[in-house]
Amino acid sequence: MTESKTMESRGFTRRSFIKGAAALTAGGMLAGCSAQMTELEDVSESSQAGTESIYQGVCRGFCTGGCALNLHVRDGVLVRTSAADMPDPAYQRICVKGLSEMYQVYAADRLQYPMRRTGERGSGEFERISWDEAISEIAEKWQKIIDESGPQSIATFTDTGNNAFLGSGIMAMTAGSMVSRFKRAFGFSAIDSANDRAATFAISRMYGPDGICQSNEPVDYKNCKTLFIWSALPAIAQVQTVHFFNEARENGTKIIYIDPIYNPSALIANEWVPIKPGTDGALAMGMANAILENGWHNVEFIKAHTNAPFLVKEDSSILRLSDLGQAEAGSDADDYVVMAQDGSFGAAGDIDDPVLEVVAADAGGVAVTSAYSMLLERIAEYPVSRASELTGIPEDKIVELARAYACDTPAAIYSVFGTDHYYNGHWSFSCMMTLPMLTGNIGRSGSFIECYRENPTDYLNLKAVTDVETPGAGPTVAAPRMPQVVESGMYNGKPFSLRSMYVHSGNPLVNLTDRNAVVKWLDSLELLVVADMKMTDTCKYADILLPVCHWFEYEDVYGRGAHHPICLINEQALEPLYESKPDYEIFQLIATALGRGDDFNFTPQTWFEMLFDNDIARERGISYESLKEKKAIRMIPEGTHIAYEGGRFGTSSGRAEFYIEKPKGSNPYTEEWDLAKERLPYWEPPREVWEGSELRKKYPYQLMSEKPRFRTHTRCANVEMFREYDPEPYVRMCPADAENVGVKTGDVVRLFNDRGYVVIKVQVVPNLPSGVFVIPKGWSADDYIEGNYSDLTAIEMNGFCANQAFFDTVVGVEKA
Amino acid sequence: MTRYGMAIDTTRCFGCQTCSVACKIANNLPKGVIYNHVYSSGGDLFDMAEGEFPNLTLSYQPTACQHCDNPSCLDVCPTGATKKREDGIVYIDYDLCIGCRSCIMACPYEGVRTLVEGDPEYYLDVTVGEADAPRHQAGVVEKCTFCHNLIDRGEEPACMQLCPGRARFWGDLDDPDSEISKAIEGREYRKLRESTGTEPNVFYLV
Repeated sequence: MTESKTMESRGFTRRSFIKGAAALTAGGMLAGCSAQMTELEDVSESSQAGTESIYQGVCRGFCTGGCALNLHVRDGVLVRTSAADMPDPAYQRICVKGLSEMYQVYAADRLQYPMRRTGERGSGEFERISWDEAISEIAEKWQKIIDESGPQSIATFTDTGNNAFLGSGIMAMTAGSMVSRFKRAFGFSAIDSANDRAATFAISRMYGPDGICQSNEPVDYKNCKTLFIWSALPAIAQVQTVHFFNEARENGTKIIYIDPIYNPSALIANEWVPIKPGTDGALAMGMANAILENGWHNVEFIKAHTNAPFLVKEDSSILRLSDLGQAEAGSDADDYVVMAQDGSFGAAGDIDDPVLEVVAADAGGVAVTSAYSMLLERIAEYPVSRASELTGIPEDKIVELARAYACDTPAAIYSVFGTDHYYNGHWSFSCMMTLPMLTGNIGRSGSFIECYRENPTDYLNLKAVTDVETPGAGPTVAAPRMPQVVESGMYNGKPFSLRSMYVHSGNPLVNLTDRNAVVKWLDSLELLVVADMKMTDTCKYADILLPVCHWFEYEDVYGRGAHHPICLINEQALEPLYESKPDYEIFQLIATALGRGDDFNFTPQTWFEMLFDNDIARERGISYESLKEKKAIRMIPEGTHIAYEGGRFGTSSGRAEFYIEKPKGSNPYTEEWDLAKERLPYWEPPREVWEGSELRKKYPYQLMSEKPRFRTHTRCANVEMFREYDPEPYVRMCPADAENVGVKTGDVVRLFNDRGYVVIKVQVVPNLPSGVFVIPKGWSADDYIEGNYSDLTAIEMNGFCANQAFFDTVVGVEKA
Repeated sequence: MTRYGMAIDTTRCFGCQTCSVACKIANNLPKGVIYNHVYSSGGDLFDMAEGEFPNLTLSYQPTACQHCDNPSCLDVCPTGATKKREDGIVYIDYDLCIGCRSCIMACPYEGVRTLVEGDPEYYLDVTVGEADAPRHQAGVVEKCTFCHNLIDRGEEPACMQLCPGRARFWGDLDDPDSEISKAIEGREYRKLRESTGTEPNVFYLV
């Protein structure tokens, strides 16, 4: 297949990067591009075979693979990658994306030098400027803004592009990264992408942090007797987990896959259970009913490790000894109160066998009901029959799922972000998270909920990282709130006006909901600076565009956010191409121009010496030197990590909490909070896609996106070679829907709603239920025949949990 | 006597395409050339299932040259470009190949061969992959080489280096202790189009 129309429209050219570099470079940028490489044929010298220099790199677009790669370099050119050794070979890994690194390093659309916009925003018209000019212009404009309206008027936008510490992608952002120092030193605000927050929000409220990770290490999966893969797409989105699942299944684990769509993850499982989109919480509640009705719950666990027996007062607060005059309020002795079997009330820590069901009892003059009884009331709203109606799953199947989960133990739930992408995401998760609590399927080998993704920070000297003089922190605003903020000029009750934004490690014009709304608030900025490796859609809107070098063109350490607990060095294998620089150097340049250079005087070596100056790091043998020597070091203690081991949770009560005493939303718009919903597991249908919704009547089809194999969002979108496998965007629909619309595979349709439209090719597959369309994500504006998928999604977020609801989108369709 | 073969555990393969891409890169394949296609059981589209919702099944079949014991391609080649090594690897000597396509027509395994019609074109201006991967030429037929360039210097074929599903095995079928012999032992397997009498050496474990 030769260059398709799509490739031409994207502007891929056959311009030789070497020739290009020769025309552009000022000095020294041909290092790594030796003069020999002008003709393809001459490079392959058989005698050179197998003599490449090998460096270690880490592939780190946030797919959670965190793959350690061997970078094979021949004559200064990266020629291939392969999976590097890991301390545990089970964690050795690579996928198509990691294999394609050369196609990204040498991509024709790499940004080569700083540029300044000359045309309209979005036109992609720029003129070349020098680094000095770029930095001076940014610093000058920023200083003016700081003087006029304070540093909070400038924000960073950090997403998940480069997740190593110096690269400062979002997993590193909150800990150990250069951008966190940068923000702190100047007091900038942050615009947050608010992606994938529902699951972590729910688990953090109900279980709290674990300290290391909220789930068990993948090597533990084989210890599950029953394993639900629910709200996840591991076969495509977490490729590196699949062999752990396969081994578990071969070892006797029964794996059940719950998903609206029959996707390749079904192969991992023994059984696939189709479910109506957005109803996972209803299924969980139905299962909870079945578990309780049949006496399959784990009473001992509920009593000892959850706050089920705690007593809730009429004002919604939880009864403590101080309420009974038996301790000083707020003191260590002020324990929660439970009811003993003899009807007396005492400290939870003293009573091993509390009563669970307490309704309107009198505790020393205070009327109380147990959290457990309140939970039962909630669960009762979703008997198995109702759950079956809502989910489309037969009643006996719901009961069977409940039985398997509660009785064929240890059981676990591997869950990622499918459920998350609905308006009711965190509510659905709150119900799912009730199941481990009712059955004791948490805190032991073979039991967990959620996928393994977080990594610890205890081995990092975070204090030193942000130990700089600061004018105070600016707010963090969820990006979908920006239209509201721009219109009102306020945020969190205070005047707030965003005048400039620095985007790095992210592509908001593809990856945020309601792209047209994003364009509008970006347009309100006086100065938009974008730092990236390649020309993305967001880059086209920049006022100043800065070329970032590739991951393998500088030294960094990867230590958070993977499906494995290994700290990895990313060696510099190549010289930065063209005039590109690593993100951290750009922060240094800007900081220096703004007069704070002394606080940013680091090389990778000195940064990591500071970061790992920590007793735990020393204990674990982690340091810059040891990473350079060993390349891969386990960053958590030896021994398989079990989350919440022994049923010890990171909540203030130390227990898993059915009942949330003081629900706190992740946004300051408290008028949108409904605390009655938030205090207990709760469910309601999705916003747009629910059959009863007005919007669904108007636009009858749900439009979901899906992770693609050949991209992580827009990472790898410029790998031309992948177009042989994945040439262009398509929307998938089932045969019945295709017939209704009057199309077959290869035809073109127009999908539309009140927000926008996209013209796109059709693929008809039987894997989908009727009424659901799927577009794999990560395509950019020029890839579509017309319109843009990103225009179709809704910007509305749940009023309590700030999180984008990509799947909660409905569209109409017509043949185009 | 060494007799090379491959085994693919279809209960573990989940269609990630890593083997296909690893091969394409290691061999610096030109545009339009893929040696190893990972087919979905339901049809031409990736991940297409068979059946009617919700009664669906899906499996994957990584398919490349089967390095047959009785290859259909061997005898039909008019120039002797197609050869079979003693260790079983079937390969094409590009200097002898005239691109007549007789092998493509004779081979019962659709898609494993590609004729490079014009000058080979590439996506990058640098050569990727192994330095000793056979050089590409215009007008020749190409297919999986069993990475003999890698094997002959003690390395693994590109598609075998790390299958994320841990589903791929290779080695000497005549050595009971080889990885492939151990993978096949005790397992049911099928082979492709055995009725054609080609005696393929790729085992699909079921």
